[in-house]
Formats: sequence, C-alpha cells, structure tokens
Amino acid sequence: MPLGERLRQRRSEKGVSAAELARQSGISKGYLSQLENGEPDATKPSAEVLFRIAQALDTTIADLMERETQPADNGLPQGLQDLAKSAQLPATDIKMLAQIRFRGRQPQSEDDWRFLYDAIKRAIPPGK
Amino acid sequence: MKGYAWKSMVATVLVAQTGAANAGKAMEQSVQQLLAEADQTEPPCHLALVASCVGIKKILPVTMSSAARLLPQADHLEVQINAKHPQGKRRFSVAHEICHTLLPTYYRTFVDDRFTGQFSNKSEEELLCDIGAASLLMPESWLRTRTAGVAPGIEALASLSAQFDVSLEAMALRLSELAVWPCGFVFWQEGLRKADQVPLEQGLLEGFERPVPKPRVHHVYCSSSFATFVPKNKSAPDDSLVAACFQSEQSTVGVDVFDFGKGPLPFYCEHLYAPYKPGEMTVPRVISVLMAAQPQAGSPVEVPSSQTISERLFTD
Repeated sequence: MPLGERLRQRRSEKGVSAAELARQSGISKGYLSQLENGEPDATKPSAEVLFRIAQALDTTIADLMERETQPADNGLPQGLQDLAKSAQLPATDIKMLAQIRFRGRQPQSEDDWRFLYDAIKRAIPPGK
Repeated sequence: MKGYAWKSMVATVLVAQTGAANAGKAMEQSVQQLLAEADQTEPPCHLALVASCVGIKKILPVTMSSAARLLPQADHLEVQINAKHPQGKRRFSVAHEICHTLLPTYYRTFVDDRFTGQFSNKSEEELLCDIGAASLLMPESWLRTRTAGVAPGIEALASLSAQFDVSLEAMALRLSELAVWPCGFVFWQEGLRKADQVPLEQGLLEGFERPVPKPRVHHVYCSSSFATFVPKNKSAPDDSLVAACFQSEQSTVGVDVFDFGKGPLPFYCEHLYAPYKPGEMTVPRVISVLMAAQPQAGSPVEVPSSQTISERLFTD
C-alpha cells in the first residue's frame, strides 16, 4: 500500500481530521494532502516528519512504511511461530525447537508444539 | 572484536545475508542502513525516531532489576529501560534493544536483558547487539570527523561524550576500539589487593591494622596504538596525581610515573574525578587519559603544576 493510502487509512482509523493531524505533526494541511494523495510533486517526507506523523497517529514509522518488523520468511513452521508469540518463548528455545525432527517430520499445530515443549522441560530439569 | 571467530547460527546467517567479512561488520552494516533510513547524519542519534523505524512505539523507564526489555505488543514493540540507570547507560540499552530487532533470528519475542554493554562472547547474540549499539550511537564516520585534529585528553573525551550523549565509559571504549588516539583510558576505583580482601567475618588478627584501600585500576581501554599493557587492580602510588585527584576530588594534569610490570615509566596524564552511582550508593572514581610522555631530545620532561580542568556535570 502506498504511503499516502496508509496515512489516510491510519488517520481514518484514529478519527483524526486532516487539519488536526497536520497541526499535531507540525506540517501544513496542504502538504499532508499532497502526501495522502500521493502527488508526484510532493517532497518526499523526511524521517523526522514521518516520525511526528507517526506519533500523532499513535503508531510507528515502521507501520506507516509497512516495514516488516519480523523476517518475512524466517523458516519457522506456523505452529511454532504461534507458540513463540503466545508463550513468549526465549529465542534460544525457539531455535532449539526449530531444529527438532522425528523421522523427518515436525509437529504441526500450536498445541502439538506446546506438548513437545512441555515434555522437553519435564524431561530435562533446569540446570542440566 | 578483531580476530574473534564467530560460531553461532545467528552470526552465520547475518554474514550470509549481508556478505560482510564477519558478523560484527554485518551488524555494523545493518546499523548504518538503519541510520540512513532514519536520516541520522550527526550526533546525538535520535533514538526514539530510529526505534520507530523498527516498530518500537514506546520507550518507558520502569523500576526493575534488568537493564532493558523488549516487549512485543499486538501491533508494535515496546522497550522498557531501567529508570535508575543514568542517561548514557539508558541510551546504550535502548540502542541494544533496537539491534535485537535487526538480527535475522529475532522472532518478535520477549527479550529481557539483565545487562547491556558487557561485550562478552558468552552470548554472540548479545555481543552483536552491543556492537550494533556502539555503532548506532557512535558511528565511526561521525567520530572520525569530530576527532580529526583534536588532541587526546579528558576535556576531549568529555566533550565527545556530551556531543554523542553517551557515557564517558562508552565513548572511551569506542575511541579505543577505533584506535582514534594513541592513549589508554584507565578507570580507577579505590580497593584492596586480593590478598588483603579478608572476609568480614574473619576479622583481623590482633596487632594487625586494617588495610587501607588505594586507587586501583578497575578497568582499562587501550588503543592498539598505545603500546602499554595496564594490568587490572594495579595500584597508583600514594604521591601520584591519581591519588591527589581522589583526595581533592579535583581534576589533575601532569606526568605520573607508573610501573605496569616493565619498570617505572612516565606517562602524561589527565585525571578527572568522576564519581558514579551504579545503584543507591555513590562510588568514587577517577577516569584517566594516559599518553606516552615524550620529552624533547636533550631537555627534561616538563612537569606542569596540577591544575583544575573545567568540570562538566557527569551523571554516569
């Protein structure tokens, strides 16, 4: 999604008028309009301007730029990714689980991964 | 980390992704790209803006024992920093957490960093984040520009520390790593020889006096171009300018003679009294810049009288 569309989308979600966003961001309403409309003549916003806009919209530059804040393809099975997020697993445990194969196969669902993880923790007490 | 052989999976992946010579260089490369994306061209680095570029929305000081934490939320990341740490240390910790998000093995998980800035290879992931943090806060190109033609000294160290908004220690380490100046930065704290460190419960034998703490080398950062090994825990002579700095709590400048294992040698020194608060207590500390004392041929070493260097307010 182009930056301008993203800006307008976020502004709409927050229920903020263009005038108010421009004021909070310290830019002119005309410039904000140019950005949102993706006008080719619009000066590319500096990181500082993007930051002020992001703060006014209670989000981040990464969100406005749709920058992937996690590797797009980190090679982890979806079930393990889901477990990693829900259980807030430390990176070392994620790496360890990702390397496990049994007869060439890995668990599928988040519950299956959780079962495996719990079994490992039970079998190997802390300190070993 | 010259000559260090990286072993971990994260280091291997990082090199493969960037094509850099080693994982440390790869992390520095990633940091430079981030700085460019954030339009950062001069110190001090705008950390909140840089953090926003990697999805960190909030940086919150909290009361905790860890130095910093990285917390994934529903649609953004948050960084928590230790509210009791001084400004320079907090900035380094924030930079450290930012660098966690640059690692190829970062999976948007909770990160709890008890310590930052250890530069220890016990965990290569943490080491890479420390290397990245130093590069983020004190990019080599920025430092070289601002040290060109500048003589080494305590005032210069303090000035650079203020310009880059980092701790004196972080700046001293960075200057040494980059071999900017041919000098050593010595951090002195009062302490006892290991042999005198008798446990309190043992008490003292009758007739023996309690040993007196002396200024000792707590840690040291030496440039590769400073050809002197400074051993840890080495004490400063009672009549040295280091000792005078501790006693008077005033900065001193002049030639001190130290024996670091190769006989007494003169060093031109600038000592700064810079106490710091690692926790609740204030710890007396002196930071010294040591340089080789090189007298002109045929003339004795000039020993200027001790003078007070204009002091800055240090909070680290």
